[in-house]
Amino acid sequence: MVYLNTIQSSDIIVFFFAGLMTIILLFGFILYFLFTYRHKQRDFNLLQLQKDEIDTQKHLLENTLNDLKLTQTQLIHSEKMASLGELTAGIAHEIQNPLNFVNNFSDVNIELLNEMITALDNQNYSEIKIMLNDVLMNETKINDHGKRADGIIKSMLQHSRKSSGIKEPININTLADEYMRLAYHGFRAKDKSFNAKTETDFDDSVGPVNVVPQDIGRVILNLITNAFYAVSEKKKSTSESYEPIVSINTRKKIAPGGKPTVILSVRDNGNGIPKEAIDKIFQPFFTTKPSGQGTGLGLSLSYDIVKAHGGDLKVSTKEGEYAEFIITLPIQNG
Amino acid sequence: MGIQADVFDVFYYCSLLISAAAGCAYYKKTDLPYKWLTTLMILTLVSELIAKYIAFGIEISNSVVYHIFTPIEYTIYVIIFINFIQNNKLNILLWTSALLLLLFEIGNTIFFQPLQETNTNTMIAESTLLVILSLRLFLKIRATPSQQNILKRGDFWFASAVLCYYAFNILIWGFHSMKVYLLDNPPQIIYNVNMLLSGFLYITFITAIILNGMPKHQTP
Amino acid sequence: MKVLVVDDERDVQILFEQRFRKEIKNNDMQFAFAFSGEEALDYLNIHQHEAVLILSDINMPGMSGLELLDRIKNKFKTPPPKVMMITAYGDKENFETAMRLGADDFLTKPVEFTVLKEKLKAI
Repeated sequence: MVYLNTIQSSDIIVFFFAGLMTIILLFGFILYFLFTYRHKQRDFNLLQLQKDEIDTQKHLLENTLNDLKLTQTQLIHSEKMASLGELTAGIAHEIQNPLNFVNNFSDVNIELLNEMITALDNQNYSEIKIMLNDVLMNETKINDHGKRADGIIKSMLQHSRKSSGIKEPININTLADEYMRLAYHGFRAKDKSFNAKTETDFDDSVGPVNVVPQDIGRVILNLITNAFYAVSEKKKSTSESYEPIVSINTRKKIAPGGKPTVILSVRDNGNGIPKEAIDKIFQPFFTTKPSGQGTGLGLSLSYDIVKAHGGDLKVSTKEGEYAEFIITLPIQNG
Repeated sequence: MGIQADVFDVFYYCSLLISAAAGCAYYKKTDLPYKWLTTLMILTLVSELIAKYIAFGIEISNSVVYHIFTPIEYTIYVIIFINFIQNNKLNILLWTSALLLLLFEIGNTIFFQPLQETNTNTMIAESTLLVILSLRLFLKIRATPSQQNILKRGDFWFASAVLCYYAFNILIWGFHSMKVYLLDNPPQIIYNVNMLLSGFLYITFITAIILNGMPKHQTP
Repeated sequence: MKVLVVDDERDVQILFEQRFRKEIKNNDMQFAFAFSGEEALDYLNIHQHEAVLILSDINMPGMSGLELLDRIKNKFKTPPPKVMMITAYGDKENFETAMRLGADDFLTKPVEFTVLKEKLKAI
């Protein structure tokens, strides 16, 4: 019994020490684990902090980007409105002329009709017949000029309206001519001393071209306004002998792929585009005009519009001599 | 000695009962591995009740229960560890270990420890595997730190409990086997310690479950 | 009295012919028309001293009315024809330039034909 007890107690001592060793080992391991974990956690927290920081920055940047996009659309809109403003004087002039004709011809008709009543009393029928023909012709003229004014107002509304984005077949020559006149009078209204020779050379074989009229109209208007600006700047700085010329012409051309295209070029004999600016002119917000006078969006938008039509906008220039902007558009869809 | 044993027994059964009940109460709020942990505790409780019934009711050796239950218990542990570690490459290895333990148990029953003897060999093998698995889980915890205090992480408490308990299990059953091998009687205290540690194991498990079931800290 | 009307709008011819129908019929007045500054100068070169009065628009593509006025007043000295300027832009600058260049009168569009007739009778 004593022996057994001794065995027993020595077993317990062995077990106790083995257990103690196990506890120390486990305790040590867990402490070691906790220590290394804290370390990792610190790194992780730091990373998390950086990630949060980056997330915040990203969020901020996203917001800024959204703001920028909003501002961009507003700018594009204001650019459109600005070009409309430039047009107003031109439009007023263009409407004034047909309206004068309408008023004058209808005045003449009133006179003629009164005279016809008198002639009727005198039974002077041959006279009446002549006068009747005149009235008829005048009425046709009234009708023509009324339609002309109507067309101008329609195209102005079309310009200010949000682009439908729908392509329709239009006569690009008519469109170019219309905007040429509007731009000319618009420019003259701003700068009374301005005068320029305008030349048009249209290829009638072009036929209808499938485009979004408002968009292409804006492009043409923008190019013409730029051309007028260029020649007026040159006029200001050079001698009397300089004659400003802005010309616009269209040509039908079959592209290498066999697709029919129309080439519309707007050329001015202004100061041309300096070498250092030529790469930047199609970039948004690039402008050579004094601050506050140009948004710097005109050419960039024009470029985008032409590209969206599957076309191309190129420039050819010689410093001090000329600048020519060449639009190439596919005549068919695509 | 009988009374002493009863005190440890009572502690063991009470903690198992309470833990299983609490596990059921928290069952819905907890993540998948903790649900399996609750299942494990319920199964343990059932097996213990069957063992008690066999021992006192039928009066034959209740060792047969442990022969069956040990591989099942290990398999559930494997499921829990798979869910914690979440490493597809390790899954096959873990499942294989469960299968190997089953084969080991069968072999052990045929050649070394028949049904009427306690399957201590299998228990030692299971404990060794579980110690390895818990160490692997520690690695995983360290590899995926969180901003949360480590002492509030259920997986940490689970891994710690498994490591400590099964490390001691190796010691206890090793000691037991050595004594039996020497045709000696192991001291009663080792079984009492085993009971005590088992009780603590389940209490720690339920701590892990409750920590996991508590409302999650707000993510920033 | 012969009047040369210079305007880039072609319907001006019909309008004037209608407005001055009686005068034309009674041979009180004769009208000639030119649709650009260049055309007007050509006409004046061929029909020297025929036109007594020139009515010119200022806004025309190519040679402007003011330029035409300048050339006429410099080229046709004895007797210089009377030149009346007509413009849609009745601004001070245009008016002053026209007067400086020797314009005899300055009218703004829309032209009041009753006023114009009286002015023509006064000549």
